[in-house]
Amino acid sequence: MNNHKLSIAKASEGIRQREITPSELLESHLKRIERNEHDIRAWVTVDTDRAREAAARLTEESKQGQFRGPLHGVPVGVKDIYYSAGLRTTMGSPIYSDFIPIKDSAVVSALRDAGAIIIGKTETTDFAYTDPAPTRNPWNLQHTPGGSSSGSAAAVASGMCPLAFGSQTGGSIIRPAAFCGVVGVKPTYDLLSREGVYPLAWSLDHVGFFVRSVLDASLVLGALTGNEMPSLDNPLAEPPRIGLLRGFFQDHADGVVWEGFMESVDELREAGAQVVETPLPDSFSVVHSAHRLIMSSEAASVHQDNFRSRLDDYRRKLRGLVASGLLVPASAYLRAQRIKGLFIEEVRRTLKGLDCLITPSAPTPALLGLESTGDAAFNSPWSLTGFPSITVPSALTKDGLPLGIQLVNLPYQEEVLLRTALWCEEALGSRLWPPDYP
Amino acid sequence: MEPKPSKEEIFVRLLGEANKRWGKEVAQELKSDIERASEAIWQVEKFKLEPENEPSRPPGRV
Repeated sequence: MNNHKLSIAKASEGIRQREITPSELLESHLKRIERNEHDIRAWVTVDTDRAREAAARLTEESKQGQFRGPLHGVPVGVKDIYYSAGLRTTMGSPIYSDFIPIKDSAVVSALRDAGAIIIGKTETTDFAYTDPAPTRNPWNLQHTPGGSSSGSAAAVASGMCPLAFGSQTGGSIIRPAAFCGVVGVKPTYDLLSREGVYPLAWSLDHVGFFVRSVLDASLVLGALTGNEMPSLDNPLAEPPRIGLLRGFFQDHADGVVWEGFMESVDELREAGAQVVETPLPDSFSVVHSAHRLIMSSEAASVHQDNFRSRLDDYRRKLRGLVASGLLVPASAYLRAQRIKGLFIEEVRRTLKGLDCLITPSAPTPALLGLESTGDAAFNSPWSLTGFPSITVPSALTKDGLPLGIQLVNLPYQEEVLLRTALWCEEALGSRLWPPDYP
Repeated sequence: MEPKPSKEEIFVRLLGEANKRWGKEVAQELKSDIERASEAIWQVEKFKLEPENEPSRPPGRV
């Protein structure tokens, strides 16, 4: 039986109905990892023994009729920048190669309380920046899975686990999710706690996750926030009003991406969505510069001490970010934060009367080669604002690589965002599995 | 009133500082990152802001 293909919704229902146990579900994913990890390289550490112990406990609980919620017995991967008690957490760097935290991050702790089973730690780029991890894209092993949440995206895409956690400072959830043909969720800034997640830039870092469907995203977010989230039983009352952003996005998207994106937009329109041409706010012209200055200055502050004593352990791209951040004057950093404030207000006004904004999830499909994790330019504006965003698989290119649509909404409007995403997912009808990892 | 510095002036200043901090060889290695930082600083410096444009706070509830 292909238990690895069960959605969180179906697995949870199966566990509740005693059609499958947490131990059986875990074993199907461990087998999947054993078979495919050599190709894909999604994991830093697979914590097999402790995962099996947890699964046995949760199986016993379910036999006693005790269910902790929709994540009871669900195997989860966690990006290797999240502290996990007693389990090596490397940040993707030799500086932390032997680091074993004594405490869980807030999200890992919440997952365990919810009955999720931490399978292990997924590959990350060094300190979640852009020096690549060894992970490969399950859609084509010659291509990057994107980053920095490389392992989490690839693990979910290839059926190694139905849920994996990542982080985004620029585009590190949305872009790898799009490259790997899965749903990626970047909630509102600090909706999910960053406590115990190694920072890259405090005011830009977001905790988020990867799943295979918007319904699963709803279940996960509902379980972790205690908020009511959309289900298939309560869809949107009427088709959504979607603000289409062109300008920068059209100018910088690959031809193949823009063509695929507009075909998806046409499908949404034909399904009944009102697609509204929406101009970019004035401050958008400097948004990427502001993001860069904030990210580099804050990363420089995070790494200042290690940078002095362990310079040789910093790979090229992060070294450049930290060094340039140390050179940015305080006045420029503050000006960037003022632009951020202005951009937030302008995007709020832009979103008035709309259910979401829509853009392609990335300027390109997954790039050939592993040297670059891709371009975060389509995602970093929403990381800057802290507004929630989601990517939904939309189509495949002629070369068989996934494309995604990115939806953005106002802070703390995850319910509307997910409801709209659910509607779009149904309208587009693209639930994708990599052909080599069915 | 002193004019805003050009991109090149910002770059020269930052490169000079990098030379002082890390030496010429490392500074040269970092040239593309310093160019990128200079471009970003120049862009935000020339963007017009009003005094009431405060630095951002975390997004509040609508």
